[in-house]
Amino acid sequence: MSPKPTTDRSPHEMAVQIDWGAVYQQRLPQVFHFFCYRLGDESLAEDLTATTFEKAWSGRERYREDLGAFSSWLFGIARKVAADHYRNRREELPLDENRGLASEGSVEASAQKNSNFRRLAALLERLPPRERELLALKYGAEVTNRGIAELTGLSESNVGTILHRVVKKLRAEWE
Amino acid sequence: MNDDFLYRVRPVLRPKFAAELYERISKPAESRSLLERLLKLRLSRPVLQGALVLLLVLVSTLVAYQPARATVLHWLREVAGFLFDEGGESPIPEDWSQVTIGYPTPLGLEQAQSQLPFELRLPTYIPENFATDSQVIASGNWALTGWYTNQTNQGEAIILLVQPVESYPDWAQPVGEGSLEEITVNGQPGALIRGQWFGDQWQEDCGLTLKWQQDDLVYTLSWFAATSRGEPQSVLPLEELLHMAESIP
Repeated sequence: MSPKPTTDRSPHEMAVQIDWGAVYQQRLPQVFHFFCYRLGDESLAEDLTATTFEKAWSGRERYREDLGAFSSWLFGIARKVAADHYRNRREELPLDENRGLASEGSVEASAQKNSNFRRLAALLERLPPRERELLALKYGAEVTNRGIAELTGLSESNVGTILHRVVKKLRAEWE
Repeated sequence: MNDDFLYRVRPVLRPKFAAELYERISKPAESRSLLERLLKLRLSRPVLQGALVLLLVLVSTLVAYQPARATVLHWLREVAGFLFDEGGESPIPEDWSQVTIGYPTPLGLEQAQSQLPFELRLPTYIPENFATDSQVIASGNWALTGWYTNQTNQGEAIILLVQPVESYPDWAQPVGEGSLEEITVNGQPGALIRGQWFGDQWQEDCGLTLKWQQDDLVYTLSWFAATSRGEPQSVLPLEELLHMAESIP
């Protein structure tokens, strides 16, 4: 899906041109997978995916297609939802529990679930937030390096370099 | 581990989740009635949440309260033929913020009327700044409709509940202590209740309710103040609510 070309329409007029059904069909799996990579938990990913689409729908009149691609706008919302989630979680969890999230024990426990994704999620948990987000955008949401650069403000080559390094690190830990 | 692996390893999106979410968000807000939107939006507002629970408790689940009623008989007070439990405990569940209120889909007036066993007469006078979209929640033997100052969850609301006398429950409605008065509405004896439940607390300034019988129907007309952090932000003179009640033909 891509919004139709616009001329002098108001933000509302531009917004109503969006084919919401097509957006949903195309973007839902990408947003869901973004959160899977970002959070490592399918159930939580569903919750935040729902939050993202609800926000996108209720704020659709604020979307300005002249300011960027729809996917950038949608993933901008998703990134903010993820950031809010982490901020709230930090406020809710005692320090020890925060530390525990990245502990060796949690990696082993997750690995025992005999699921590749669980095992990967446990490894992702140990990554710095920025690296994890880049992976989530690249392999979860299938955003191109150029798209990630636009979303994050990094240069395209920097995105490629970081991703290459992170995947190499994951591969080493996986094996 | 390579790029392909990192794409393939992703969990599968559950079709049921996708379908349910789509149904939830794709129903355009504009197609929802004002009443439906308010019921949905106002659930976050303790006063109206509590009041709606109370209204629906009134019309649907009162039988369950019969045993409890027997234990508080000495507190009961009858005003205009209606029983009240003055100073009684809030009927609103402790976990009211988690309560999901089930109610029929709001209908247009004509369609609602066709489903009701009585003629639904509505007030012809509406206080200034209040408006309705003429949507009615109609069940087998009761109808609920409203007027609002704001189409979001920020404004005041006036809700009218109408039900036949024969289906009015034999139940003492809990109200705050000192909140009851007898009053005349349309030449009929009626009860005036000053206040509303706010969770388990009675808030004197957050609402007004008139309850009276007219032509074999019981009318409950309730005004809910706009609130902020539990404090009322608006006032409706009793005369205005009375005027509205007395304009029902």
